[in-house]
Amino acid sequence: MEIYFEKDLVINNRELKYNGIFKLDDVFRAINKVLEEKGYVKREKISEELVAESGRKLYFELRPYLDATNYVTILIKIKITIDNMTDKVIEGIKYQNGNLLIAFDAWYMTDSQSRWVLKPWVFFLKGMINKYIYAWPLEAGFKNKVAGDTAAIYGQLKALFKSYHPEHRQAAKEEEVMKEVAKEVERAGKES
Amino acid sequence: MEKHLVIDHVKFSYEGLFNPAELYNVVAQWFYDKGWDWWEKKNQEMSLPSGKQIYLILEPWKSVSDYYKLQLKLKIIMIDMKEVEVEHDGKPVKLMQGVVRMTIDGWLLSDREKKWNNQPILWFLSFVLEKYFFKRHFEKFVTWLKSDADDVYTHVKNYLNTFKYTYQH
Repeated sequence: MEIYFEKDLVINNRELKYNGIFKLDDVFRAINKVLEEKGYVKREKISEELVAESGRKLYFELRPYLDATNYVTILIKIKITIDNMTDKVIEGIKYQNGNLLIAFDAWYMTDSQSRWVLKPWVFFLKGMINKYIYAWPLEAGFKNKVAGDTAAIYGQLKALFKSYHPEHRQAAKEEEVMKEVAKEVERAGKES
Repeated sequence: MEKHLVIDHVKFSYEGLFNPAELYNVVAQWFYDKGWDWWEKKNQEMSLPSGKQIYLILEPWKSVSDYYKLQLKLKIIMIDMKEVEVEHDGKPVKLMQGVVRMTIDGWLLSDREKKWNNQPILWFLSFVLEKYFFKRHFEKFVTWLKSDADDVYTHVKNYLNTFKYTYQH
């Protein structure tokens, strides 16, 4: 991956907060699942851990990226902070308990090797036109993609955290039962 | 010699109990097992009122072909280390309470014997061959370097028993 890019921040610090029980492996699995589906190269940048009597404090920074074309690279920065993390066993299953904060940044980057793009007047004109007059489909398309992929990870994690709460699990089951019942009624109606 | 940066400053930090000598051995043993050549650029120890401090800069390397060489740079800083005694399996064990910070950089070095850099035409030829004809070789060694860096990183994390980001799902 190249280092020097013309960079554009598409999503700025979109946060997801959660307090309660979770499984850290599940969190990583949920992130990885979306990243693999979307074809990103997974990359861990920073890992920090503080072990104290009150619990662990963890910080992970993931920077998965996708070389969309020879010219465009999109990158999602996922910053995971966990405070006061302790282990908790519920019904024989080991969970982690703590305060989780996940922040997302999404970057759209274009290769600086084509240097003329980085000339001040070209950069300025391109920026103005992109913002107010017309967004080139190639550029707008990848910006939408990186925003969409970030939203997909966000949604996946939100759903995962919901699943840890028994009341939601109950509600989800009831909904499923209702759907199943509705399908059965429909099928029965058709048969008759 | 051309240097291609492959791993750019991967950072790791840990605060808690550990044994500095064991940590050093974990890293050194890994490189020995994998057949890397050892180069310890800096090993400095200081005793300060805030605790003991150790600065290590390791630059091990491995010649993987006649043309390519892998190089890693591990900067390990252990600060504010204070000796504590804890009980493990009913026995007292002396450990250090402190902070470990580690950064990893990795390069793939081409023309390791400096045979292709003496004349412009040779340099040009090597550049073209490397970029267009032997690109697969280059990519293979990039993958090798990434894999080894990830492995040593995981070894350190395993030793310190920290939570790990897993690439598989």
